[in-house]
Amino acid sequence: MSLILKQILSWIIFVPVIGMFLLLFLEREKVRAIRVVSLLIMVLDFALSVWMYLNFDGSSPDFQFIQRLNWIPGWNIHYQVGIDGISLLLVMLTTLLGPVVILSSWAAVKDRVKEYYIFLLLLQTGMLGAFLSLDMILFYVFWELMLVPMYFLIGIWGGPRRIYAAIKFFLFTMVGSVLMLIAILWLYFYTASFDYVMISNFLSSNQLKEVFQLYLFGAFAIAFAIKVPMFPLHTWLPDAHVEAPTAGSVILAAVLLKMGTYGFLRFAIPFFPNAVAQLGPLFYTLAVIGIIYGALVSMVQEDIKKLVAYSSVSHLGFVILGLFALTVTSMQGALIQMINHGLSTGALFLLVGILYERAHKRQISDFGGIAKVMPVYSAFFLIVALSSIGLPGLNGFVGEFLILVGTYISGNPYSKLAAALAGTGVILAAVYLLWMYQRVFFGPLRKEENKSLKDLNAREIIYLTIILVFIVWIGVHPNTFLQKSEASINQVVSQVAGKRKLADAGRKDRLAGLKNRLPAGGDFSEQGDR
Amino acid sequence: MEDLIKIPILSFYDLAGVATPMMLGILALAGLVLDSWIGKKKPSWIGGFSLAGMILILAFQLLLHIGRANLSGDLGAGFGGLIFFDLFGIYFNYLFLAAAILVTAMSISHLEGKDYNRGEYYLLILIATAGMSLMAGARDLIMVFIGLETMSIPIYALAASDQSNPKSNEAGLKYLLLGGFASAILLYGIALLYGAAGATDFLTLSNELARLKMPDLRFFFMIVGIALVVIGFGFKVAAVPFHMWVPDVYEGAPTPITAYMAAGVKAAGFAVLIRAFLYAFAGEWLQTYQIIWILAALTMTVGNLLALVQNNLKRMLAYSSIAHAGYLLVGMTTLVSSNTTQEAFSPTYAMMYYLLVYSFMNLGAFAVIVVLGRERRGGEMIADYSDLSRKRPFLAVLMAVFMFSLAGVPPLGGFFGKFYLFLGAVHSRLYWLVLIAVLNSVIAAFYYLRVVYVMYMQKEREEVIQPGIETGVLINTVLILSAAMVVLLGLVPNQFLDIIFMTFRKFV
Repeated sequence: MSLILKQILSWIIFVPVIGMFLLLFLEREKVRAIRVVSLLIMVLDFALSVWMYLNFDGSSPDFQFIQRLNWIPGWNIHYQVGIDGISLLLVMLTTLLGPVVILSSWAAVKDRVKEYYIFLLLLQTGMLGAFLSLDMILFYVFWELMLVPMYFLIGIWGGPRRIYAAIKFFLFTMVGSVLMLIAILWLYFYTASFDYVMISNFLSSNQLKEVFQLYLFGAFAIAFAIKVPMFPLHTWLPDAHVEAPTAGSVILAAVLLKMGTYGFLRFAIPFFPNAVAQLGPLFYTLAVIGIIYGALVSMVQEDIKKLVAYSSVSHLGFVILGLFALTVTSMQGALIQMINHGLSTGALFLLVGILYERAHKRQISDFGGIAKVMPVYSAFFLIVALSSIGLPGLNGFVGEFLILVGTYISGNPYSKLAAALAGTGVILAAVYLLWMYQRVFFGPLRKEENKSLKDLNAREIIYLTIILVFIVWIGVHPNTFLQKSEASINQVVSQVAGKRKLADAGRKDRLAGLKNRLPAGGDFSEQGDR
Repeated sequence: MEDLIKIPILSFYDLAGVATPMMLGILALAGLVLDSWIGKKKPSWIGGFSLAGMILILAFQLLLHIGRANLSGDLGAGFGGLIFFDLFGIYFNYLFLAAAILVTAMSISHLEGKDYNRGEYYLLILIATAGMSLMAGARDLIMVFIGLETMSIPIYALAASDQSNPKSNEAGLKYLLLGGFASAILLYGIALLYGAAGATDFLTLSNELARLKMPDLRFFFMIVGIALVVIGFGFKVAAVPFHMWVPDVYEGAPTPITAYMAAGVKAAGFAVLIRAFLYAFAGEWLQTYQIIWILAALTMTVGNLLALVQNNLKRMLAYSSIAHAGYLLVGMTTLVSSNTTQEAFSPTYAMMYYLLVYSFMNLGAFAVIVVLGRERRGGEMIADYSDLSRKRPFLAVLMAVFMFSLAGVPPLGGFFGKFYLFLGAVHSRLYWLVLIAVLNSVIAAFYYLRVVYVMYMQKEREEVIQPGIETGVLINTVLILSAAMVVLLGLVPNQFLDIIFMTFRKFV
């Protein structure tokens, strides 16, 4: 057992691949067996990750369960995986949603079932691998590997404009990732390593020139900003979400988008503190624009799924704001908000998918008063919507509150204004979600065909309840999860702050004669940290 | 050098250096004799004969390699310094032989039941391979030229071998004319170099280059000579602006021959370019690498942009082969811009690795076209692939693997090929070139993905499928071998890298 525990991360990553091979040997007609095998594999993967979670030491900021093997010694590339407080929760979210998406597509997918589950399992491996990689090239491999199954999921099982959406998704992400590849290669020649920990240590002891920092940060940031997606690089998102099948949307929203914010938190921010200091104002300006823009666009959507898709732009704006405020509070909030968004928006997509499966339409105007025929469904939808809005007692509140407080006290230029403007996003979220809820669920049941809509069945109730448990749990007692990540977040913040102080001192010397040309936002202070 | 020239009888190095092309030649001659017996009735037997022969030669090559592997990178030179016997040459011999074997196997399947199925066809492949092998081993520009012509002339004939198809005739003629033109330019370049340096062997050329300085007219002639040599090979490797023949020839030639041009001819061209710039044209003047920089940027951009609008898969792969020549020229730029020979090895290795990966993904993709052609599903138009994932799921998976690898998606070989090339280029601070290259690979992803979505996401057209020939063992082997190589080169590249790293070990 202890041997498995030592290699637990590799097991978590590759158990879905084993499942994939099992599926290859199943006949394509045995649909039920295929589903059961995929479900069992996902449950096993979740169980493994829970076991790992219980053995995880939350008080240490270091990477744990590290496994390092030579992969391509000729290029100095290793197979190296490890986990810390930052990736822990995201891994748990991914493995938790694994069984959920299998269950959600139990009845919805009837065409090419075998391929569908193969791609879902491959996608799971790609995502987990990207969160757990500690080697830049390994990370890049998993990061790109994710694209392939997602491309097929959208392109084969998607809606009418699925091909356009799939290709747009693929190309947008690829533009970003190839830029990141150049940055990774550059870093390799600067630090002589692809190893994350070594690069990180090297960069904190050697001050990288600011020009280089800006270029490299730019390359990483574009890759991650496309993935998040940040305004104005978000245009692929609504297309991909609307056309993707339910499971695809859920994974896309819940996990794939987190790759972007995870990338910022893991690579871009700790690696290039000076660039973050310089460009921070730009990023949280874009984040605030994204929050408000996403909310306003959501408000006017006619299609429920599109509404939820645009709400992602808004919610992830909060995450970016929290990350670039650079306080422990706001970063903790951002991390928990990543999880919250995964749960809430994932659940919203599941619910929209359930409705679409029954009614085969998604326009708000097609519904009205369906609370009467689907009472259980309406209850679930209401709770999830409220959590997405940020009602205290549910998870959304915790994340957004921490982010806003953290930003407000960060002492960055205009941070109070940013927090105040971002706060309107919470209000707007209530507007678009509750307004939609009202139009869909309340009022008279006008449409004849809606009278025969069936309420949730047991399978749907089970997987929604799983998510609901965590929605309430995080809302009521977030510390269960926060304490596991606190040490790691602390380290990132102190690392960034420490390096920036050094750099600031240097810059002030150099620019002694040019005081008034100090770049705006170059002077962050750490007053809000504690 | 001197003592080698004085030796009157053939030494070990003389024979070892030309062992592979010589055996290929003997095999071709034996095949000709056999052909006059059974060639009319059973032309495929000649194919089988040459296939078996090449596998034996490959095995012999392996023995020769293993016997010498623990020596050093440069094993010696033979024939009065005309030919190298070294691991670099051996590596490329592997590549050419593997490509020729797969192409012959593909051809036996492709030609089954066709009227241009003749014994000569297979023998011409053998002779062309011998020419490639001579090119990769050449230590003298005259040898390069002999190898080049030995390779090219059979390929002109092969391109035109489908006499009933006007496109094939056009391809042959076009290739002959433009290829002849390129040879003439190359020869003119060699003549200028000879005039300036007084010799054509790589060593003298590099010594003269190092000795001469700009005001000297001879230096000027050498530079012009080098430029003409590069242009001549620019034709062969399909670099823009010398690429005009590529789409028509690729489209018109029989599919296996197209595959051979993409895998073999290109590799041979680059082998010579690498060798020439490592040994002969190395020197200070190479600080002016900008010309190749521009060539690389143009080649990949033009190739990729034109590939976007193709509806014929063979034409699309033709433009993609231009684009890939562009990526390889990024490696060439890195090589040329490096200051020391040590530094130049890294891009050399990268190009060697890339050529290996590129050969297998192309051979695989063309083999899929052959399969569809056999089954009378067409195969040349991209639209022929609609809904292939339902009709032939396994074939569609293989094609998807080749396409994703060509697009450079990890963890397949194509990604690591690009990775290695760009790694070297970033090291040499060619940031803008790498930026152009990676953005190009995004453009490229678009048209490779198009094939994938046609296979997986487009509904079947109305079509009448004529009864075709079921897939054979040979073509399936080709497909599986190519796919296995593409995957292995991605997942465990180290095994192959070890062989590559050996090639110049003596110097490191």
